[in-house]
Amino acid sequence: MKDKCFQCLSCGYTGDVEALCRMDLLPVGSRCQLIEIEDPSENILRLMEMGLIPGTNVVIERTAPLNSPFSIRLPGCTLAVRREDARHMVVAPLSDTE
Amino acid sequence: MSLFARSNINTPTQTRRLIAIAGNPNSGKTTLFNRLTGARHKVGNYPGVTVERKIGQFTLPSGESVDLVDLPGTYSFAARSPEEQISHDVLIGESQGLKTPDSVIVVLDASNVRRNLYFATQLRDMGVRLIVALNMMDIARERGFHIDADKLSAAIGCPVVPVVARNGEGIDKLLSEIERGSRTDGPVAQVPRFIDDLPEPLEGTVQELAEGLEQSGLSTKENSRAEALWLLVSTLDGDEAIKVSPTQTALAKRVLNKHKLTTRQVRAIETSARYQYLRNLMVLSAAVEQDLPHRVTEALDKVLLHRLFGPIIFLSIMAFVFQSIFSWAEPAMAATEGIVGWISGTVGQMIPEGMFRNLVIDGAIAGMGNVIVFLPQILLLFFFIGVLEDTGYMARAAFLMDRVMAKVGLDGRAFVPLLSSFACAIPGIMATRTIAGRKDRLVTILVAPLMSCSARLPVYTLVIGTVFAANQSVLGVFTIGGMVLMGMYLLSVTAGISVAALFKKTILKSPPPPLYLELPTYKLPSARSVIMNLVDRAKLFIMRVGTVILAATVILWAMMSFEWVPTDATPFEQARQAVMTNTTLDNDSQTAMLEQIDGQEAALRTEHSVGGQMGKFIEPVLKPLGFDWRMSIGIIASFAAREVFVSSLAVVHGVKNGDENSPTLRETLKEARHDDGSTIYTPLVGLALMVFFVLACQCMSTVAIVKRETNSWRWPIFMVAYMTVLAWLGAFAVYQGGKLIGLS
Repeated sequence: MKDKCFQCLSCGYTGDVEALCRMDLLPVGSRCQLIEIEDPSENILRLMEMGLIPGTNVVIERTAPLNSPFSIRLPGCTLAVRREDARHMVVAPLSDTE
Repeated sequence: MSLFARSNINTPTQTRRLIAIAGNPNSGKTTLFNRLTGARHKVGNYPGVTVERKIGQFTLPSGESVDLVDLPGTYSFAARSPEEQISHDVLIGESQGLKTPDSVIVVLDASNVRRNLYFATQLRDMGVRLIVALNMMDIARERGFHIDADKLSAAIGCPVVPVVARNGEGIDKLLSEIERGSRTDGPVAQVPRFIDDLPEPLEGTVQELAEGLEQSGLSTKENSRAEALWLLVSTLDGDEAIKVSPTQTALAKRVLNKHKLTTRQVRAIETSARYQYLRNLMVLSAAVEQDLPHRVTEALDKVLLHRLFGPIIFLSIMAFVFQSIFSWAEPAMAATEGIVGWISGTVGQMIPEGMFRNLVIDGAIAGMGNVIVFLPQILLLFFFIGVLEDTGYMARAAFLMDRVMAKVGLDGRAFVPLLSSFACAIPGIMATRTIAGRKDRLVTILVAPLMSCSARLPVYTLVIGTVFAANQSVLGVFTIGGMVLMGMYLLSVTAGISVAALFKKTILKSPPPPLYLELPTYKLPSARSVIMNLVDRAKLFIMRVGTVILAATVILWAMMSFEWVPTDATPFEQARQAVMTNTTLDNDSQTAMLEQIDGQEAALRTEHSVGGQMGKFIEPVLKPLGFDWRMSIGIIASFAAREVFVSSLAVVHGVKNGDENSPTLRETLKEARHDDGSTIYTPLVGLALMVFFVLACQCMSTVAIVKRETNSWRWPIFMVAYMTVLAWLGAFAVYQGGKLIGLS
């Protein structure tokens, strides 16, 4: 279980999959890898087409005044994500060195 | 009158070659389009939908002239709405009035090649001849992105030309590639495409549907797999279903059921698998993706998206924009009116007095004035929107406003159009194009005229000045007039929010507005693009909306000037004679009395006109609101524009040249009595009248623009209907409710 992500088997994530979290809970400034998206809605499918797919490394950048949406940086672009959408996203938090 | 000229050079023809230009939003597609075609382009709509179609022309090095069509900017080829289906239809040659494009220029943002290639490879799967324009290489290099154009070209099997659309670098090379690409008739280079080798369970599903399509003759062998995948990922349910033949829909549904898959699942699988495929392409193209943060963007966002300063700055920018369309457009509008007045005067001298002169001056010229008077506001608003959009700030505004607007069920991008509607609904409604969802956009359009626009101000001013002690102070710094005025604005906002929420839950029921938003890096706006867009907006407004406004002005003029009941002028003539021959009067009082007689005659003639008779006819309907027949006439006449109410009221009360600040008009209205001797303009009637004007759609220009923006008469008619009912109910509640609690 430790050497390959059991959720999707294709993302290539090899970290500690027991320490999974949901993206909406991560504080500003944290880094994570997207592991799986549960039951993607129409809106999330669009985010996926914009590059937010399992295996992507994400930095939580900043939140809007009323706490939602918040902006995330992926390689190549910055996207806005609503907190309720981010609840569907299972992530593995990364430490700064990873 | 070059604005009205329809030149043939911009119409696509069957003989010229057609090139399409496509790409992600923010990829610089529009800049490249403008760079290639310059001013040689024409804006219109795709047939049947309200998606803007831009077609231009440019010349190849050989001297051959080709057509260029701009496809909507999108992240994916999958169609989830009729609007998104357009790219598909254009590419396979099924868009009305366009032939199959010879080749497609795909613009890629070199800073994010991977995501831009997602869309490009979807196009390539369709078997179209692609020419990749790798845009903004300069910025990409700064940010640590490197890509080998030749290797990328080899990996995806089509020419790749690095360009900088902003300054025209690489355009020559792009042109010669277009020329070469168009001339080669061979197949697209034989490099394995995504569609040729799909992972399971996509492979089985796509292959089965592809065979089904081939057997039913709905697709050719070369295209069947790509067509099948497109069908599977494009929405097949709901009322926004894309327009494909029932046979295709049935086939696709059967295959999906058999494999126990849904459209969404297929899309999720396709997306992940395609990105996997792109990973290999990136390796083959020797791409280095370091992703250094864009310094300027980072620094600006720290302030502009700050949790406290962000909204403050946004509201300040909005206040500035609003102030400018609200008051800075005023001199330009006054100048327009001055010019129209001068033209009327000049033309008036050339035509002999009579019906024809009135038609020309009060119908045609006044109508053109009614059109042109909107231009300053439209140009100002679209200047600001253009700059904010091009710099990348508009996406931030949507980001900041999303939560607040979503609470009402509106898109974050609806904020700017709605705010602008407080100045004038016309530019506001034109600005709703940035809203992606069709229903979300319709809701915004339908409530925009509820925002209290500046044309209502003269009505408020007159009524408040007439029925209230407007300058009496309350609570020290405030005055009654100010408070009543604020009440009207509050009513307007409350009504707008409630109606939007209601429509969103009923007739335009749809999920909460989606948010899939990219926050692009900040860029300097290009003056060229901003100005070209302004010219396009102005042209569109004058040609598409102007004609309707012009026609409506002429009809209203006819209604107010043709007499239904003939007026007997003899008593007035006799009265005039009496005044003229009365030697005991001095000159001044003679003039005053003559003017009074003129006013009385004009009042009677207006009462006898078609519109006047209609006003009398509908009086019973408006009576429960406390309105008399004179107000009814004013309401009918004000359909030309709300402020006309003031001058119409002046005419039917026999006051010459009365405007909203005229003391004579106010005094006359104050003195006006019903037949039983009671005051007509009581504070309660005034309040009901203002509530009516807040809620009613008394503006044919708004109707015309909604017709143009929704592409049918259905929505404008619905809008007038619901607003009229709302206005009647609102005024009824105020008047009857007020009477119940003993007000007058």
